[in-house]
Amino acid sequence: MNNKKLYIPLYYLSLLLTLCICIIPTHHIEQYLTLSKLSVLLIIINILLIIIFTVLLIKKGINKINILLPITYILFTIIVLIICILFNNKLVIPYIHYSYYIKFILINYILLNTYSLLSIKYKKK
Amino acid sequence: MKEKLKTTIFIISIIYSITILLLMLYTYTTSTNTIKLTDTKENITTLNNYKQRLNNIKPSPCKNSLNNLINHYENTSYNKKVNIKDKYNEKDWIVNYFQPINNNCNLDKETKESLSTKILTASIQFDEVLQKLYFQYELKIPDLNNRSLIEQNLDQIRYNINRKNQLDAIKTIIDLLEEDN
Repeated sequence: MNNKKLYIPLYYLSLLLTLCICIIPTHHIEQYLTLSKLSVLLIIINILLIIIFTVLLIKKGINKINILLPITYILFTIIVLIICILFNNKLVIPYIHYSYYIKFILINYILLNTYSLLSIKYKKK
Repeated sequence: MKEKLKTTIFIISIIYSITILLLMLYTYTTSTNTIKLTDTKENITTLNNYKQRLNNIKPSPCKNSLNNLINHYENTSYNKKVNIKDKYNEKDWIVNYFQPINNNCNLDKETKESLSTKILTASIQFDEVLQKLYFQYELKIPDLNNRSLIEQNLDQIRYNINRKNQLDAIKTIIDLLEEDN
């Protein structure tokens, strides 16, 4: 499933989705809903990887790449969100699970970013 | 080398996504927001006995406060599966009834301390059961068989302690009111 043209929009769609997820828990002011230190660290790592990937993408372009990974990531994130909403209706404290599950989404996003970075075209000297 | 690393990350990501989703689904399906609680017939009989004793006491602010505590006891006297979310949203906790009793009844220091201990114990015991069910979002694979054997009994034991302490608190104030009467 190699498609360089489709990979870029899917990658940035993943970025948009991740940004939305980071905003949801911080939208609720309660103390227990603030992001954990680990989540903040993962966000910083992701931001750095996104910047590096975008710069290298503009300068060098990408090699052979599999679009299955961003699709899996998007599906994974959507399903996690759906289960969070289901949890929200079931449990006493609303939105608490967002701040818990966000780290799993961010770890997966690091994997996607690393994969994308490894797909950058490098000219052999 | 780079291609091998890419393939490894690809495989890790796919396996990771599937594993996390399966664990999350498992956590969701096994989490519960209901708890089975049973108040004993003995407790109900004791309460009815206290209510009869209270009827013979002349009206006073202290009696009114105690009546509110008795109403709370009756409202929380369960013999069914209780929905924790609904219960939590009611915000009807035993500690809410302590301050009016403290203000309206002539309690000496010793009685006040003993009463507050009973009410707090009743509250803590039951709140602990509720708290256990507040936070069931974590990814985990609990030993459900063991939990069904042990924790279910613990819930009932804690609820019994809650009932016992509430009844003791009611009795303490009735004794006090009867003395004043």
